[in-house]
Amino acid sequence: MIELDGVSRLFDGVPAVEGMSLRIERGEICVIVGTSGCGKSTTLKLLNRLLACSSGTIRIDGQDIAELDAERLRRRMGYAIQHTGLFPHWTVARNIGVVPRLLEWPAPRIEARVRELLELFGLPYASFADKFPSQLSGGQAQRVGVARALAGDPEILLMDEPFGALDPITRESLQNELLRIQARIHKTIVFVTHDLDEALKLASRIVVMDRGRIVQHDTPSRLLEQPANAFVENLFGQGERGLKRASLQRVGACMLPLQGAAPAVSVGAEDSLRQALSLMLWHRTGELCVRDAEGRALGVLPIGAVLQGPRA
Amino acid sequence: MRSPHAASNRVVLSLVALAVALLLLGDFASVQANRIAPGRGLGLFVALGPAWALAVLGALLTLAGLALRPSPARYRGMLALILLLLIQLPASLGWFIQLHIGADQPQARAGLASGCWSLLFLSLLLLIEVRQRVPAPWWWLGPGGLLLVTALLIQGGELAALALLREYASRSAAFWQALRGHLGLVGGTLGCSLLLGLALTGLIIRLPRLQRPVFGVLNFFQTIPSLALFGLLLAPLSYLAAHSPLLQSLNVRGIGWAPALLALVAYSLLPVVRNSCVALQEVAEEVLESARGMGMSRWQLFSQVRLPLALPVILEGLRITSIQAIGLTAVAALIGANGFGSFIFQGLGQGAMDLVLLGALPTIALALLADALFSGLARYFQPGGRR
Ligand SMILES: Nc1ncnc2c1ncn2[C@@H]1O[C@H](COP(=O)(O)OP(=O)(O)OP(=O)(O)O)[C@@H](O)[C@H]1O
Ligand SMILES: [Mg+2]
Repeated sequence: MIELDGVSRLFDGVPAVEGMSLRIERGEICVIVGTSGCGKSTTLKLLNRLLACSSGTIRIDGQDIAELDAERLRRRMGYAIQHTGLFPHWTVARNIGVVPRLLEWPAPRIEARVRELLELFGLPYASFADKFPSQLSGGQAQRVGVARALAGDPEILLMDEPFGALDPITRESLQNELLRIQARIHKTIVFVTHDLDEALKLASRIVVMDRGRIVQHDTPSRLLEQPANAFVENLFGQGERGLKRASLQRVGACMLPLQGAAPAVSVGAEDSLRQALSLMLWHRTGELCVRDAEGRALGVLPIGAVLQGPRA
Repeated sequence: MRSPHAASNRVVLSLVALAVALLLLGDFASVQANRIAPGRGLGLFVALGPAWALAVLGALLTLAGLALRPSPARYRGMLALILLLLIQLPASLGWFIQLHIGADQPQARAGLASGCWSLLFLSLLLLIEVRQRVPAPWWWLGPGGLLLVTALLIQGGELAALALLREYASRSAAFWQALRGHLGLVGGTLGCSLLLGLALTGLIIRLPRLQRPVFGVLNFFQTIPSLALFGLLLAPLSYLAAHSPLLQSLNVRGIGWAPALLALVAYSLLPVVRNSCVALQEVAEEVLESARGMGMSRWQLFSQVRLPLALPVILEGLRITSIQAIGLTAVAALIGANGFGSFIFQGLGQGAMDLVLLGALPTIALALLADALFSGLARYFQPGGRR
């Protein structure tokens, strides 16, 4: 659990982060969004003490981090940044093994850990372990960056636009990988992004920042439904809000029991209402058949049910 | 690869034509009755006898023939011929000495003339040209064989009558002393400028506002001509030495090793400091941020990230410095510093070109060695290039 209590950070007298109070629960993905320069990266650097707080305290599991040894603290936290910051003179394997080596793990354990992480991120050990960062594509480098952040088995993962500057397809597959991995390892993740769809997709809760202050801290759906002010409303796209909310809702939660013949066009139960709407528009139909992963018909989704949204 | 009937290789053809012309028109080698007597130049056929001369010309003409319609196999043939040409060169000199200098002429000496030199350099150019055309990892057998045969013939005494070796024989002790002196001065310069340079670099990185004045001074040193700098140091050093028994006991005087070392270090600091500064400052910000974010200590950050990333550029600075110092040490002979420069200036004074060569050739060899050593090291430490 991470607690920020009235945290401020000034640069030359100008606040980059101001009076920030926040609680991040163990095992959640907290996503920080906001306009450029609003203090997102600064917040992350305050968490791992790359920057010191000008005032206020940050506690991790109740312990004030200012009282901990900074280097030890950082080794307990993974840190992944947009430009990866991979060490150009080390191989992928050595890059991933940095923190375990700093933690003085025995060599066989480091080797096994590197192997495990590379496989986890879909980078076969045999072909990637001995490559140098300059030999990787942007997406592969960012995967290695995230794998490196995870290597020391940290309790907390700080990620500053780790999937920035990637094409939408690679980006989405990395997001899915992160969710898949998180379902297994349950880290506390603080994730900074510019991409609001990414935020809505990954977050347990979202922190919206503006000019160094928290404007709203809420779950994705409540942010959409009850924006604290015009800024949040604007940020999450006034005109697109309906679609954004639909993309958070599963078809399976809205469907009705199957009666009579199944409709011709099908949608997966795990797909979002946004995808269902797109199918309806494309096929000019008001009714979809809902099927599970094996293709069995589970129910129907008429347009009325989409408008109503998930039932309680 | 182009079509099998590729155009002829004009570079090889012209180099061969030049070599044949120079061999036929110029002297191949010369004989001197003694050190003072004027040399008598001999053409290729007289110098080596018709058989050897024809063999050399035949090899060159075959080379040209192969170059008319080159193919990978023919390029390999050309390479083999070039290797033979290189390796026979020292042997041909031994043969020349046997033909023209009898055992009863201990004063007589053989010199290399334009034909011999041009055959050497043109063969090396041919080697460079042909080596680009076919992959042949054995190309180094040429220069290697040349050196080996030369060494064996020197060992066996066959080349003893060579003017260069006669000069060496009459001052072999001085030669090794010059080598020690030269290496000592260059090594001292490298050591001092490395220590001082890294200290200055550390200072500049701590206090960036010192960067401009420090570089201003170092740049200023670089603009003073070497002789002027030696001269400038003469007066203050003589004065200091005259008033300090400690300096006297170290043999510090206005001339000799002390002003040479000071001047060499002054020249060497700029490349060392500039390269180290640039290299250490240019490590990417995000690499440093992630290193710190991973929990590296200051020392780990320096020793595992900054230094290894900067090392190739720092070594490049040392490469420039060492080559510069090797050359300037030769000049420093003018103010009495021990080194190969003393042979060069003595030879120039006496009009004895072979003595000049005795100083110049080892100086060049040292510079080439230093170049190879430091570029090799830089390549070894290149990020991602360690194989
Ligand atoms: N080292 C620094 N020195 C001075 N000012 C800084 C420093 N780091 C950040 N700032 C200022 O603090 C403010 C917040 O910066 P921060 O990097 O946290 O923004 P951000 O939200 O991450 O922006 P972006 O989305 O563009 O990455 C900015 O106005 C920036 O200019
Ligand atoms: Mg940022």
